[in-house]
Amino acid sequence: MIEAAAFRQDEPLRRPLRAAALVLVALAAAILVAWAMGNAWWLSFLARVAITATAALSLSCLIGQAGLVSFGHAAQVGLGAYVALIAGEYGIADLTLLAPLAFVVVALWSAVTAALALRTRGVYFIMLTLAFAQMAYFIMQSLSRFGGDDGMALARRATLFGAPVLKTDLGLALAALALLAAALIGFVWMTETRYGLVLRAAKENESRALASGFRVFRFQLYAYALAGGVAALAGVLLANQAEFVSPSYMNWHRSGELIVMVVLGGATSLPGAVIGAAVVLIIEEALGHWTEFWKLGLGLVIVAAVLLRGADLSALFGRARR
Amino acid sequence: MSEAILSLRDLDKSFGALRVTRKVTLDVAPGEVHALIGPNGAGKTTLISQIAGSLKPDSGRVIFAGEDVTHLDAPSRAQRGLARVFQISNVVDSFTVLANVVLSALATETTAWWGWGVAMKDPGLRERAFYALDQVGLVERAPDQAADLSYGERRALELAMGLVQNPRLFLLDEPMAGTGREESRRLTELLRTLKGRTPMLLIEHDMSTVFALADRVTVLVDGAVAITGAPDVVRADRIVREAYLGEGEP
Ligand SMILES: Nc1ncnc2c1ncn2[C@@H]1O[C@H](COP(=O)(O)OP(=O)(O)O)[C@@H](O)[C@H]1O
Ligand SMILES: [Mg+2]
Repeated sequence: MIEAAAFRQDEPLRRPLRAAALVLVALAAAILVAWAMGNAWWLSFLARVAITATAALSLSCLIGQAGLVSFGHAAQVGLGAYVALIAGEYGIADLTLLAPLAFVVVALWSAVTAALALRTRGVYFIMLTLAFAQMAYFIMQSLSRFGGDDGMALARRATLFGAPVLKTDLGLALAALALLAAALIGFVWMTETRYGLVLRAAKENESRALASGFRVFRFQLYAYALAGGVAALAGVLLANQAEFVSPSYMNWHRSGELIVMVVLGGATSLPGAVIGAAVVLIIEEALGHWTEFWKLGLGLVIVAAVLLRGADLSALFGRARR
Repeated sequence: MSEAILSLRDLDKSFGALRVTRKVTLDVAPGEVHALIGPNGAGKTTLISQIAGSLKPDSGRVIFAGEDVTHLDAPSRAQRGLARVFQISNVVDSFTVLANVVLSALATETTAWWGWGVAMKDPGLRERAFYALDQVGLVERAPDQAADLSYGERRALELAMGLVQNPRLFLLDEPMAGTGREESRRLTELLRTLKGRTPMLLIEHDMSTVFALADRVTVLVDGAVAITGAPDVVRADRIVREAYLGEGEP
């Protein structure tokens, strides 16, 4: 711990950036191998890993850096997917327009809901984030024009400057990787900026941050909006991969899964969230094929992870208890 | 006293049936070290909290630097130049000593808190932070984690976090409590060097410190001001001796 502190002192960014680079290179290599072997299933699986990892990463920023345990983050992903669906219905399918649109719409939704949820702390905050996610779920479920309960197929895959970059499995996987890389490096960097410093200080000791003159509420609101926007971008890619969007994207247990990914990778480690996402998806695939009860296996892994690195969970729930 | 840096007017605060602040009116003059003394539970910390903005009074006004700040929150008051050292050390444990002071320095930066640069590498912030750490004798501890500091060093760190903000008023809630004799002596010496430059509202139990530093002393008993005056006058006061200094009539 002391060593870590001294390290942070001298080269605050080196270690997390190195971990980030490692994770990204590994994923890139896997994508290339899958592509070289012509394995379409693997390619699309890896794309899904990168997309899910981006969503988990944005949640990790909230939980691990800002101390805001959201139990509704899947709604942000789902809303991003719905922006892709609905915009597509109106002929907007180029990422130059679609991506900023999804980001802004969901960041705004996040900011508005956070403005209310942030007036509470701990368990109440968690419950409110869940409530807002359920609200989003039911709103989308009621939009019969866009598929209602059953969901709806995407008009067509998105383009970039008119080029059908998401058309192939490889294109989609690389786009997902690019988004993940930008988000990972961006978030890691952010934690060491002035803003990140305040965010982390407020997470650990809110009264100190307030007494020093920081309006903690605002800092956390921005973090919540930013994380929502990034999750929405993951949602846009998810919609493009499935070519289909339904309210089930926003199901509360998907939010729970995202929390599991974050905690599994070590709540305060941003690159860890990527690993957590990969592990959960691999377990889901490996066990999901031959048993309905794959979540039991996931549960066992979580228990093992907690036993091995209990500090992370206790940090999570220590926060929740306040 | 219209020039006072801090004026409290008829402050009143109750926790349920317990009235912890009773019509407190008090002025701190610019450059003054104003000691606030009183027995445990007299309501000193609660009063500081109302000045700092972490507690709202039920009635009355807080005027800071000529501005009515009664309805401003704690961050707004801090940005106007109120720095607080808590009774129970309040630093970011997982941060290094330097990071704690840099954080504090950030709060009063005119360039605010945005920017893409790595905060801990900002030369301006580092310089200000090291200057403050030097004042409290903590430079050597800069790279260490705050959690590893001794109790006295934590107090010194909190003092540095206040100093780096160049406060217009320092609220010090028992800054010497729990520190060793040597540390306590050093902190007293530090406060003495600040005297005249930074006004202080100082809660302190050690009477020799109070009488060495304070220009004026206010005695709080059961939430109400019992007496305000020069140290000698207060020391000689019979009520004070009975209620606080523990020298009941023979
Ligand atoms: N948040 C609170 N709720 C209820 N009572 C409190 C609270 N804070 C302080 N008190 C009570 O108010 C009185 C004054 O406390 P305090 O201001 O800490 O006194 P002092 O700092 O002079 O020792 C005490 O009786 C204390 O128990
Ligand atoms: Mg007290």
